[in-house]
Amino acid sequence: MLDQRKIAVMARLAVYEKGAGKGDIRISSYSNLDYVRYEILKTFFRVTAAMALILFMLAAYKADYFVKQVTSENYQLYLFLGAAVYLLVLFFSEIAAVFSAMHRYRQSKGRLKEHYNNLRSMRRYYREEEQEKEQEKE
Amino acid sequence: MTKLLVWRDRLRVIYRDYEVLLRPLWKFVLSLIVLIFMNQTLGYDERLKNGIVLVVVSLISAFVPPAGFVLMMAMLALVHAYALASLLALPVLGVFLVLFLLFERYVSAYSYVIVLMPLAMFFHIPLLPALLLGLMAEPVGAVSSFCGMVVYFLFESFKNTAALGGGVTLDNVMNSYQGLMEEFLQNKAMPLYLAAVTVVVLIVYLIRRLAVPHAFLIAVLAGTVLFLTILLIGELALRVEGEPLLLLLGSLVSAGLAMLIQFIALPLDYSRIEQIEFSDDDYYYYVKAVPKMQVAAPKVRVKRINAQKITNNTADLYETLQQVSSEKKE
Repeated sequence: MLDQRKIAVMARLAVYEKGAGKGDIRISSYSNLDYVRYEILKTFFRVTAAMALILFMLAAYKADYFVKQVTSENYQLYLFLGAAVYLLVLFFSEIAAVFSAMHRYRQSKGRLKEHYNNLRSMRRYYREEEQEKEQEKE
Repeated sequence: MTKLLVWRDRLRVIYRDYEVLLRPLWKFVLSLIVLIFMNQTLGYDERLKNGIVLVVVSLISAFVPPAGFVLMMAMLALVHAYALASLLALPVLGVFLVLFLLFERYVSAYSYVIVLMPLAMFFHIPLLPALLLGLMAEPVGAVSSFCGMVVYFLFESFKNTAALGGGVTLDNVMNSYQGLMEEFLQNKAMPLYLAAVTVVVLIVYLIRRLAVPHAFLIAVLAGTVLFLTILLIGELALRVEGEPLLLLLGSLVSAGLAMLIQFIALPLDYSRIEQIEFSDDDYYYYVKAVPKMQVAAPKVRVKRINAQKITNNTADLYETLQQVSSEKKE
């Protein structure tokens, strides 16, 4: 006889493990603080790479102007401006990354909690089945 | 209204029954539309215009996740750019990489919007994805619409640079690159559209979450008015050459379509709002519950007018008689 409740729990487990579960299990391997730190580090490298790419593209776009400014006496001012823009973008990206990481961690914890509850009820079903089999043998 | 609700329920039943087939089918159709649009607007690589290639790529797109779909479309756009001038594909790749590095984590949930936004711009209905994101998604969806808009203006600039005449040769590639960047960065319409779409997504999201009757309708109307105001005033102030009539028409169509999609997704009956108040140990609750509209689909009864024809086939009758007699004996 098919146990409909058990099938529903199994389906829920399978759907979760196939979908959001993969990411959630990876996130859960970190502590909250570690995950946020990891995201901060990742954002730092991403923003640095993106800004370098933008700088390269802008330098190629205004090559003459760029060379003139770098070789002029005002190069320190341009260096300062460039660094200020980079730090500003980095600052806002890091803030967004921290909030996003905290939100994602909280969500994945919630989903994992539900997943563990489902696993626990599956264990209970299996235990009940084993008990029934033993009783039948006796 | 009742007919619309019945149709909505029928559509839901059909979708539920054939979800396995319909999901890849709609992705296939979407991919085909995007590819045709890409061939129409860019279309520098003749190989990608081949019907078999279109069908094969669309078939593959139908079975890959949304991020894979966006990646495939980006690759194909790059192939078109490469076909025109290999070196001119580099800035396109650069912009794609910058968007990926800065925004990838925020767009993963709404990656389709990146592809749909240029399509919506082409059909003069950029308000539609913005309204739908505000009505159905989280505010972070604004990032996807932002990226989609950047992609659209990038290819507009690419197209304009290519159309300048003389072709892009190895000798003038630097000039072409500078022309492309000039066109892209000096385009006054881009910041205007970026601001308008982002503001619409956020405002529509904020209004639709208010606990007021007809919040969704108010959100759509406010979004539409805001979008038109920002663009019309912005175009006047920045002296951008626009098409006000098309903008107005496109916005009205977008608002209508957004309302229709909203109605199909979540029809609410504001005439039957219920206010409930109750308390537990810690809080006192004021709850406003808006029931969903529901209509039972009329059951079709088939009435037979012709009398049943008597045939000479009595095989079934004999079988039944034998069964009854054997049961009696038992």
